[in-house]
Amino acid sequence: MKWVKAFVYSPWVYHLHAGGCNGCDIELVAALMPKYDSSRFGFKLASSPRHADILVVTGPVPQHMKDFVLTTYEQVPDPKVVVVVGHCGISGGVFLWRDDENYAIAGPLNKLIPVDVYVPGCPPKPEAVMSGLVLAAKKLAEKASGGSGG
Amino acid sequence: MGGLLDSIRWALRGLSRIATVDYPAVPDSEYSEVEYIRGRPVLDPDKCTACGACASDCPSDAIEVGIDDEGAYRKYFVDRCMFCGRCIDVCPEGALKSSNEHIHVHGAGEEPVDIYRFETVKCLECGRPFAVPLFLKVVGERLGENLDESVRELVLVDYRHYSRICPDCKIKLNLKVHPGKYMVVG
Repeated sequence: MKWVKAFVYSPWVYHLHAGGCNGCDIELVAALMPKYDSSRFGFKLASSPRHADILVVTGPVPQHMKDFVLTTYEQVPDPKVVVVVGHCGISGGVFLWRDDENYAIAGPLNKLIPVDVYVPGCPPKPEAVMSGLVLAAKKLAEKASGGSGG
Repeated sequence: MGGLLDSIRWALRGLSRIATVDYPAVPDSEYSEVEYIRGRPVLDPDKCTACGACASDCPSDAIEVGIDDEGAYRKYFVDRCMFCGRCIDVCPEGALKSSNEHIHVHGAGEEPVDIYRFETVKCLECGRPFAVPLFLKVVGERLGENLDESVRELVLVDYRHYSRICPDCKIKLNLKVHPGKYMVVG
């Protein structure tokens, strides 16, 4: 197995469900469970955004979730990395066509907050989620050593 | 009692092997199912006629087929794709194939987009690019198959000329050749 030089300590993950269908959430939890075992790289679910280093967002961000997403993002301490899982959060997906608008959707997520890692798929396989988390850990290490902050 | 014995047997089997999947995923390993899943559809450009069936049926608008001044193009936005395989089902030429590439993780501003440009036929009348040669060939073949033998040659001779003219010019030409056949509105 190839070891990845990750963050100096174990990066904690906060999972934010922003109006998705629950598919990506199930895959994210599967990626943290023993079969896909992301804890071999030190990833751990945090129960509060104030304890987290990585914010994982799923779902297309409907209007009623917009304020919660912004508040949660502000609560994560610097340096932080935002990972968006699933094509809903990346581009709006089936809820939002290219160059179009939807009165119910405030997303895609990169309109609201800066996103560092994209994990496309509907839903992505746990292996893809795991690669996304590993990339996020690398970006977190860069941010921490560069001192640029979130 | 049988159920309990089965459970014990499964529990003992679990002790004798590693259940965790390797990272990065190894396609041939015993514990990874990568080869059985749907991934991004791959285009065979030799078969594609740029008809746009995949673009119009894509539920998440991930495919764009169109014509601009440089000619016909097909864009595929991986970020929008949900790997449902609908484009593979609707393609009349069988030009799309599923692959098991499903990990497309990327950073900000690195969205993977597949762009393919086609050779394009220009209209004999106005010189505007309007169709892909393979499309005209395939339509001609299908037309020949479905026609009665008595009129086939006659129609195909006409088709060979009129297929090289763009739809806009075709309407103008028709009005010129058959005045009074159509009613012009507006």
